[in-house]
Amino acid sequence: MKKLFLFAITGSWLMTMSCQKHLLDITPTTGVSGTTLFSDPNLTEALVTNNYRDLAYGFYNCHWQAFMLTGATDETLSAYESYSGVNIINKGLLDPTPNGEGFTGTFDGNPYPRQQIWASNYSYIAQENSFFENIANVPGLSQDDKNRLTGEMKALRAFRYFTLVKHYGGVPLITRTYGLNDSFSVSRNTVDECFQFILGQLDSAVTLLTGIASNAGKIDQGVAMAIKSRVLLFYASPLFNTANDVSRWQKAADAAQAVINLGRYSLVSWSDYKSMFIKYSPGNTENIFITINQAGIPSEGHQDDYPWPGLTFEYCVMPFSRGGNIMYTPTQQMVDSYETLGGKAITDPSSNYDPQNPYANRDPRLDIDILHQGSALNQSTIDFRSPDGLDFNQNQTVTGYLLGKFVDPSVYDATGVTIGSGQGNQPWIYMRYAEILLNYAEAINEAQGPALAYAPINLIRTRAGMPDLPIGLSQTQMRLKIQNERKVELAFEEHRFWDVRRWKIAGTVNNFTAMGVSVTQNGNVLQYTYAVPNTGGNLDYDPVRVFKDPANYFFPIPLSEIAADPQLTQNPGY
Amino acid sequence: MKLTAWETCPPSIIRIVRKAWMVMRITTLLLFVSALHVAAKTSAQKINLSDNHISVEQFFSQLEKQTGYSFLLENGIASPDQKLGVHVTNASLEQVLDQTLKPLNLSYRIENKFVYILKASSAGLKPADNFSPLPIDIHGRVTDSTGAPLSGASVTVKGSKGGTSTDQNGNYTIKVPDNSTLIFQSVGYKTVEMPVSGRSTIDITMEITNVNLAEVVVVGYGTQKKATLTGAVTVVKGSDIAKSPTAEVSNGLAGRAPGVIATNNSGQPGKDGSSIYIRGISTYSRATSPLIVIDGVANRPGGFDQIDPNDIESISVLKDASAAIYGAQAANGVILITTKRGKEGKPAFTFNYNQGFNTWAKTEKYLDAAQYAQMVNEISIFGGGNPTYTQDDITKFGNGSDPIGHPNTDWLSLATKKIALQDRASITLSGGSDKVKYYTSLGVLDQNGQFKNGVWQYKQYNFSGNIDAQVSKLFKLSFGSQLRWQNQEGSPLGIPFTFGSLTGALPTALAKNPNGSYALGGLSNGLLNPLLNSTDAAGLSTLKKLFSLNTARGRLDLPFIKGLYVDGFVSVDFGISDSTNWSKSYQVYAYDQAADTYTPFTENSALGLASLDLLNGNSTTITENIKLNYEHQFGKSSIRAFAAYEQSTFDYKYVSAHKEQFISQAIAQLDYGSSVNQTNNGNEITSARQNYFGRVNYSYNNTYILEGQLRYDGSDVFAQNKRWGLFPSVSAGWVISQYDWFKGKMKYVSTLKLRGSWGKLGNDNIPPFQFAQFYYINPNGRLFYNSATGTVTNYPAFSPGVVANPNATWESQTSTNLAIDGGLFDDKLNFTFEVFHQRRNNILAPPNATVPLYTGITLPDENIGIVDNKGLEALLSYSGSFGKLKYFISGNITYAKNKIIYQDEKLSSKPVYQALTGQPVNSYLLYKAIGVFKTQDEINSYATYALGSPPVPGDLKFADINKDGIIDQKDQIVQSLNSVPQIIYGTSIGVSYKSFSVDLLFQGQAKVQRYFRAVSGRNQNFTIEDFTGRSTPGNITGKPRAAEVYGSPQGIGNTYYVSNTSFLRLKNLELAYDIKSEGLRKYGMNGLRIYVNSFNVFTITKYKGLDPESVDGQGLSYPINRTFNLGASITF
Repeated sequence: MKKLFLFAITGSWLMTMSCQKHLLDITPTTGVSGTTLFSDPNLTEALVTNNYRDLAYGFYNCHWQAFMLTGATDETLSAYESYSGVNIINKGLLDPTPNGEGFTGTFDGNPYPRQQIWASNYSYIAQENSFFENIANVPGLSQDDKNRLTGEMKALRAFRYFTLVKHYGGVPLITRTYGLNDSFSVSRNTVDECFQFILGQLDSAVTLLTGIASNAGKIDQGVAMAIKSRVLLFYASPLFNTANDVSRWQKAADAAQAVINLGRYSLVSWSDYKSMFIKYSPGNTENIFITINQAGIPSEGHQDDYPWPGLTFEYCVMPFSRGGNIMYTPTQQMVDSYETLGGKAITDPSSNYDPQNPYANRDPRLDIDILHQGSALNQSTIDFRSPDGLDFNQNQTVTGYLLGKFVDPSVYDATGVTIGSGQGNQPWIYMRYAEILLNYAEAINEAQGPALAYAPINLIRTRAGMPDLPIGLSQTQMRLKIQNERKVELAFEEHRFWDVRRWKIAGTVNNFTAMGVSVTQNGNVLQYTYAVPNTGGNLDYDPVRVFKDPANYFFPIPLSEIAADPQLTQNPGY
Repeated sequence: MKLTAWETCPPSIIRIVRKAWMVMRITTLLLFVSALHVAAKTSAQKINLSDNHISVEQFFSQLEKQTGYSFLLENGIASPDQKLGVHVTNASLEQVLDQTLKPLNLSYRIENKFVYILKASSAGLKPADNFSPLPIDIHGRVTDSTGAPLSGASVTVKGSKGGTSTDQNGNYTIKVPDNSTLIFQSVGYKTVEMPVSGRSTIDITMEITNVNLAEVVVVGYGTQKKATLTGAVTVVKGSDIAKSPTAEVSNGLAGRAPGVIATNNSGQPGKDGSSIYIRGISTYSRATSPLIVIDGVANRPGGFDQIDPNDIESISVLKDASAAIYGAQAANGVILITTKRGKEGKPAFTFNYNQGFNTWAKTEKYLDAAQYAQMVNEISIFGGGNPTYTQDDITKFGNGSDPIGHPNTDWLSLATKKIALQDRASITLSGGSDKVKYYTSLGVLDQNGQFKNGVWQYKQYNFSGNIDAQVSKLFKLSFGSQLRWQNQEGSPLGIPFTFGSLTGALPTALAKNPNGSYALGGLSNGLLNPLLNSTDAAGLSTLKKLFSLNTARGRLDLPFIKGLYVDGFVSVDFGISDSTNWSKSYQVYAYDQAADTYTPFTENSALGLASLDLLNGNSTTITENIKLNYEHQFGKSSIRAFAAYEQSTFDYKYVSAHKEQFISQAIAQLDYGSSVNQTNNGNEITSARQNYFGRVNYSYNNTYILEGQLRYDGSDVFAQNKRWGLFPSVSAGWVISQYDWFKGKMKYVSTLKLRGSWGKLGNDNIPPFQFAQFYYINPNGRLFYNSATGTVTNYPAFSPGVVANPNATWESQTSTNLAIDGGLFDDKLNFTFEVFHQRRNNILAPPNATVPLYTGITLPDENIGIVDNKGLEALLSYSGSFGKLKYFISGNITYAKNKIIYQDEKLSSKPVYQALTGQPVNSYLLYKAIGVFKTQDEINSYATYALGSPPVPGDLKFADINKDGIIDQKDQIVQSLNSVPQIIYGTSIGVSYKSFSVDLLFQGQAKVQRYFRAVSGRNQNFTIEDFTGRSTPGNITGKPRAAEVYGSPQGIGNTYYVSNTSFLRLKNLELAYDIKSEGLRKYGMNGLRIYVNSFNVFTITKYKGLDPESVDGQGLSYPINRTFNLGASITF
C-alpha cells in the first residue's frame, strides 16, 4: 500500500510537469511589440513624442565629448579641441571615414557625430515612415487626433530632412519602411527634389494642424509655418540657389510674412530678453519652437553620466573659479561685431570706440551675450585682471571673455561660486520671432531691395535699445547690416554655423585666427592688450581655423554608407 | 507392463518412470557395494538428492551439506563444471559415492570426517598430499575508510584467473576454495590480500593510497569516482576554501583550481569577490561568466560568493564537455557548489570564530604638497607661463611652517584607518543515524571598511539546514533550506567618486579648519571635501538582500528491476533586494585666515535638504526535476545511466520610488519628501526553461570507460522555432594501470589513465526576445508645458529597438579535451596534464553594417562571431612523510589563449595592423610611445601630431607606424594582452607535525598587462610615478614631463602607461594547532583547533603603484585587502 502511494506521488508529479506545454511562451514585459503600439492611441502618441527627441539641440552634450555648434564658428574658441570632434571641423579635417574609435583606455572619444547626424535623422525618419504606414488603422483615435499627430510627424519629418540637406545637400528621400530582406539601392535626390519634398510636408502639416498646440514645445500650425520660412530662406540662399532665382527669395519673404500675419508672435520686452534664455516662462510670445528643460525633471540632453555630478550649462561655459570647466570662450572678433550705442561699427572712426574702455557705450546685447572684465554676475563681478583677478588663470582666460547668454546669474552666490548643482532650466530655442523678422528682412531685401527690410530690423534694434538702421542703404549694404544683425541678435543660438555656409562666406570668415584680450592693471587704470590668445603648452585651444573652400560647405557622406550602397555618390572634395 | 505402452505415454511420464527405474537399480547396486566395504563407517545420515544436471562441484557441495563431511578433491580430477545426473533417496554416503563416481572413473576414501575424492588410478595416495578443499561461497562488503561502499572494486583469487567485482553497494559474492587468498583491488586504494581461512563472510575496508583518485567527485546531475572520471573537472574542498580568511568564496579559488582564472579586483566590503573565467574567455560579445549550480540546482539567486565557506563541502568546476549536460548554459563552464549534509554519528556541535584584520594590500602613492606645487609650476613653465607657486610657497609646503596658509594634506591617510576589522562566526550542529541525518548552521559575518567614520561596510547572517531520511527501504527524502540576509552599506556618492576625490584632491588644500570644521577641500570641480565623501555626511546608501533557497528531494527505488530508481527535486528560491539611497546636503566652511572668519558652503544640495531613492525587487525561481536512473554491475561491466526532465521558471518584479526636497534630514522616510518631482517606476520580467537530458556511463573492469551525454534544451529567449537545441557530448577513459602486464612491468607507476572528451555546449545568456522588434519606453522622454495644468510635464516616449532577428540563437561551443592522469610510487606523486581546444561559434555580434543607415534599420546582432580558445593545464602533487612529519606539495599551471577567428570588422576603414580579428578578445588600440622629445628641433623634424595641441620637449613621442608623417589614429597599435591573464599558476604546500600544521598557497599570473593612467594635472594630484625622474624644464630625461592629462600626449592612450602586471604572491598562509587530547574532555570538548591565517601576505611584482591584481585603469576602485586573521574552532 505504501509503495502504491509512493508511486502515485511520483506519477502525479510527472503529470504536473508534463502538462506545462506553453512554459516557454513568455510575453516580454520590457517593451511592446509594433503591433501593440499601433493598436493603442496613447502608445502611438508616445511614438510621436519620441520623434521630438534628438532634434539638433544646442545644449546636448555641451561638455567635451561633443560640442555646441558655436564652437565651430567665429563666435567662440572651444576648449578640449583634440578630444571633441570640433577639431575635425575647425581644422578642415573632415573626411568620410569614421573617426570615433580612438582613445581606448582613457575614455571614449566621440567626435562630431557626422555618422550620427546621418544615422540618427534617418532612424527617426524610419519611425515617421512607419507611423504614416500605420496611423490610418490605429483604433480609438479621433480624426482630429489623427490629423494632429499626422501633422506633427510631417513637420518633424520635414525638420529631419532639412537637417540632412543642410549637412549633405541632396540626400535620398526615403518615405517607406525597410525590412531586413529588402534590397537597398537608392540614389541621392537632388537638392531641389529634397526642398520640394520638405516644403510639401510642411504645407501638409500646416493644413492638418489647426490652431495652437495645448502643449508648449509641440509643433503646431505656427511652428510648421516658421520652419517653412527658414527652409525657404535656405533654399533661396546662394549655397542652394546657385542660379540666383530671385523668386525663391520672394517665396521666403512670403513665408515669413505669413508667420508675421498670424499675429500670434511678438518680441518680448527688453526686460524679459535675458530671462527668455534662462527659463521658459509660459505666455512668452517670442518663442515659436522650443524644448523645455526643468531642473529636477530628467529629460534628454542632460547627461548625468559624467563622473562629477551636476553638469549644468554653467559648468560647461564658466571658469574653474566659478565651479565650471570652461569650454567656449567668445572671440575678440565676436565682441567687435557689436556696434556702439550710436549704431556704428567700432571700426568706424566716428564711433568713438575706445579700445582701452572697450565695453562702455556698446550695443546692450553685448553685456547679455558675453561676460567680460567688469561684468556683473549676480552680486559678484567678473575679474580677468592678470595676475590676481579671481577669474584669471592661464587655463581659463584664453580670450578674456565668457559666454554669458544662457548663464543663469542666480546660481552664483555672493562669492561668485555656484550654489546648488544639477540640471539647469534653460530652454533651447530652436525658433523665435526675432528670427522670422530677420528672415523676412533678408528675403525681402534680396527679392525687392532694402525698402521693406528696415521695419523688421528696426523692431529688433529698438527692443535692444539700439538706433534704427541708417536710411539710404544699398541692397548690398543692407545685406551686410542684416548679416551683422543676425550675428548679434542670434549669437550663440546655432545660427551662425549655418548662416555663413548658406551665404557662402564661410571660406572667408571661417579661415581666421581668433583674437582675445588680456587685462592688466596699471595703478588705477586697466590696460587692455589685444592679441592671439596664448594657447600653447597644455591649453587645448587652437586659435587658427581652417575651412576648405568649397569642399567644407557640405559634410562628407559616411564611407560606410557608400560602401553599403554604392549608388550613393560622395560630395565633391571628399 | 508392455513395452509398447512406453511409446504411448507423454514424454514427461516416460522420463519419471525411467528415472525411478534407474534409481531402483542404483540403490540395489549401492546396497551391494556397501556391503562389501564394511570397514568404512558411515554416518547414519541418509542422503536425498535428485538432480538431472548437477555439476560435480555442486554435487560434492550438496553432500558436504547433508553429511557434515568435508570433501577434498585430488588436484586434476574432472572439471568441476562437468554435469551429472543423481537421483537418490535416503541413501548413505557410500551408496551415493559408489554409484556416482564409478562412471566418472573416480574413487574415494573416507577418513575422520574427510572424504577424499581421487582418481581411480591413484587409490594409494596419502590424504592431504595433493588435495584441495571444495570451493565455498564467500560474500562480503567492501568499503572505504569512511564506511562508504566501494562499487566496482575487483575481487580475485590469488593465483587464479577468476574473479568478480563489487556492486553499487560494495557487496560481492565469490566461490573459492576455503584455503585460498582473496585479492581486493580498486583504483586509488591499497590492494588488500585476505586469506579466506574458512570464513564465509569477509568484509574489507580499503585504505586510500591516492586521495584524488578515490575521491567521489560531484559532476552535473550526479557523482563520479575520480578514478574513472573522463571529463576535466577540478574539485576544491570546502575546507581549503575556508583556509582563505576572505569574506567571499570566489577568492578561495585562485591558485587552487587549475583552469579557473580568478581575479580579485576590489576589496569593498561585501563586494570583494573575484571575477571568474573558466579556461579564459571564449566570446567577445556576451556574458563570460560560468553557470553556477548550487546543490544541483542551476541559476539560484544570490550566487555563490556569499555562501558561508564553513557550509561548503566542495566546489566542482566543469571545464570541458562534461559541462554539456547543462546544454545551452554550459559554454562558459559550470561551477557546482555542494553544501554540507549530516553524517552518521552523535550530534556534533562546532563553533568557529575568526577575527580578521584588514589593510589594503597595495595602493598608489600620490604627491605631497611641495612635490605637487613643483609639478604645477613646471606645467606653467612648459606652457610658456610663469610659475604658480614661489620657491617660498614650496618651502612652506615642505616644512609645514604655515599649516593653514600652506597645508600639506595627505588625503588618503587622513581618510583611512590603519586596520579594518572583519569577523566571522559560525555554529554548526550535525549528526544522525543510518536512517536520518541532519545538518544545521548559523553564520555571521561583519566586514568594516577602511575609512575613518566610514559608511562602507557589510554584514550578513546565514542559516542552513538540511535533513536526509531513509523513509523506507525504497524511499528517501531530503529537505534543505539556505537563508541569507546581507546588508551592504556605502555612501551614495559611490566608490569611484570617493576614490577619485581622495586620490585626486590637491595636497595643497586644507582638510580641516583650525576650529575643527571641514574645510572646502581640495577638489577643483565641485567643492566636496574628500574626507566627507566616505562618511555619512552626504547620506547613506544601503543594499539589503535576502535569499531563501529551498529544496525537497526524493528518491524511490523501483522494486521490479534491481538498480532502477526515480529521483527528483523541487526547488523554490526567493531573492529580495531592497536598496535605499539617502542623499543629503551638508556644510563645509571656507576659512579666511586674515579675517579669521568662516564662510559656510552647502554641498550636495541639488535636490534640497535631502532626497531618497528606493528600489525593491523580488524574484522567484522554481525548478522541478525528475530523473529515471539505472545503475547496475554485470560482472566486470558497470552501467550507470539516467534520463531526466527539468523545467524552471523565473519571475522578477521591482518597484522604485524617488522623492526629494525633504523637510528635514532627520528622517529618511519616503513620506517626509516633497511631492515635487517625485517619481515611481516598476517592471516585471519572466523567463522559463525546459530541458530533457540524459547520460550513459559504461565501464568495463574500471579499465575502459565510455560516457555519453545528451541534452535537449529549450529556452524562451528565442523564436518559437529556434528554441530547442541538442547538445551532445562523449568522453572516454582508458586506465592503463589496470592491466596485469602493466602492473608487472611498471612497478613504480601506480596509476596511469588516458582520457578525452568532446562535446557541444551553448551560451544563451543574451538579451532575450531578439526575434521580434519591440518599442521601449524612454522614461526621460520629452518635456512639454501643459497649458491646461500649467505645469512642465515629462511625456513618455516610445522608441523602437533593433530590427527583429528571428534567427537569433545561442552561441555554440565545441570543446575538446585530452588528458593524462598518473600516479607514481604508490600514488605519492600524482600528475595530470590536459590540453584543451574550444571553438565558440555563433557569437551573437554586430555585423559590419551592410544595410545602409538611410533605411533607419538598426541591424540586429547576428550569430556570426568565432573565437578559438586553446590551452593546457598541468598539475603535479607529491605527498610524503618523515616519521610523524607529513607533508604535501602541489603545483598547477594553466595557459589559456584565445583568438578571434571571425569578427565582422570594418576593415576598410582602418589599417591592417589594427585588425582585431586574429587577436585575443578584449584587445585594444594604443599609440606606441618610443621615448620623450628632447628638443624643439626634434619635434619640428618629426611627424606632425594630429592629436590636439602640438607636443613640447618632455612630451611622449609616438611612433609613426604607417610612416605618413602624421601621428593620428592610424598609428595606434593593437595591445593583445589585457587584464585577464593568459597564464595562472599556484603552488600549495602543507606540512604537519603531530598537532601542528602549516599551509601555504602561492598564486601568480603572467602574460597579463594593464593600462593605468591616473587623471592628473593642475586640478588633480599626480602619482609618485609621474613625479619620479620626470623631465623638467631644461632637463629632459627619459620620462615625460609634468602635464595636464587632457591636453598633452601623455593623456592620450599610449603604451608608456601599459605595465606588465605579472606577479607571484603568497595568497594564503595558515598555521594551525589541533588539540585532540583527552584533557579537552574535561571541558566537554572533543576537539579544538586554533589557527592564524592570512590572505595576500606578500606580493612579488615588478609593477609599481596600485595592486597588480586590480583591473582598474584610473585608481578609482576600492583596493584589494590584505587580511590577517585569528581563528578558533571548537567541537563539542
